[in-house]
Amino acid sequence: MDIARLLTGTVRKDRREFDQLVNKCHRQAYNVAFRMTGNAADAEDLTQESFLRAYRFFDRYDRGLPFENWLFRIMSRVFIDELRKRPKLKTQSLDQPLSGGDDGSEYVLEIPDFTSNPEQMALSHALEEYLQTALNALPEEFRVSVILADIECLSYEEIAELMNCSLGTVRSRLHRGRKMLRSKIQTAQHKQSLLTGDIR
Amino acid sequence: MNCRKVNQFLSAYMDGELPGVEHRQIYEHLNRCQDCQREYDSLLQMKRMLGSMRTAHPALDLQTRIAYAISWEETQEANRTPDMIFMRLRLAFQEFFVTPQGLGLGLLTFLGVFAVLHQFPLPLDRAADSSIDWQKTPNSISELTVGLAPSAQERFVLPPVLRTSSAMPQEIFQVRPGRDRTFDLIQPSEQHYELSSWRTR
Repeated sequence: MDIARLLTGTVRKDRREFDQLVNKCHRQAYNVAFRMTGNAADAEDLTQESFLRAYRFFDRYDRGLPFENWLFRIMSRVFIDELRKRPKLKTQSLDQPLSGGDDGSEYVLEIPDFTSNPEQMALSHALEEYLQTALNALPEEFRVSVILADIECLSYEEIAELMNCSLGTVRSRLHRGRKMLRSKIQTAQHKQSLLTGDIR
Repeated sequence: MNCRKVNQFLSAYMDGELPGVEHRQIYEHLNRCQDCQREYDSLLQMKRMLGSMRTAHPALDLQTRIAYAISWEETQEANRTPDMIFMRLRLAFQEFFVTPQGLGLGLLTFLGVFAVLHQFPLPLDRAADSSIDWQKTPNSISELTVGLAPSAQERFVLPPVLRTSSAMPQEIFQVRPGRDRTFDLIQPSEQHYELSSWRTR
């Protein structure tokens, strides 16, 4: 610890260092924010607010830890806090067909068979939208846990630390979150099958 | 380990987050239980679908907007420092063509005049003052104040003992002319009071 920190209890914020971190991490941060919020406008707001708060407390950032993890910790808090302040958002039902392009056509949901080879699975645009809609319908803590584990590939320990909860809680949230997602997707798949007359 | 127990740990098993013994137990269970294996495959499919989602790309100017927001906040923070507060006050005064020094001087003068007036109150009205013979020892308070208007009588500052008494008995006080238009009231106990023609409140 340097003398300035001992005397004042703070370290002068290094703007240049922070700008480099923004340059390095803002795309990844935006992607996580987009998956959390489900739309571009809220994702940009969440990314910007998270970086702002990170800069506000940059003197407390432990340089020995990955900046992304520290930023995600801030982001998940901002997201959960802000979302709770807002009225409930209207969520897209998985049962309803998604609106299509400019010609007013509708997407047809083609969900890959869960028993098929996952390596060959490519997500169609429609399926990705369904998946995002299903994610939006998860409780916030479950959603954040699933995104951090399955999209950002963080370990349970990292997730527990940045969400300030126990390993057991992370394990439970992930398991239940994935099952809820799967259930929503399978229900949508079943209803689409009924609609198209393709009943197995 | 039974199917129910295995089911609870499937996600953690899939993520490689179980200790060696439990991992091994679940691995062996999946090898012989088709139902649990199907459940496992299904969860794995879900995990892989999430991992296959496309990366969302931000607008090109997001980084610039973040930098701008930080700079704006820094400016706001700087505006809250004492130097900036002083500078803003000075600018505000200049708006009204008043310098801070001028305003300070004006305030000091006002306070000075106020303090002098409060400390040294105005004398009794001239007529009342001239009717008193300050060189002659009065025998009583009524003799002292005879001929004075009631309002002037009230302005005499009396010692606390006399405020509750209608007369000023000579047995209690010796009265003699004091300095600068005052009477000295001397008690036998040598407590000294000054009957002043100057009101203090």
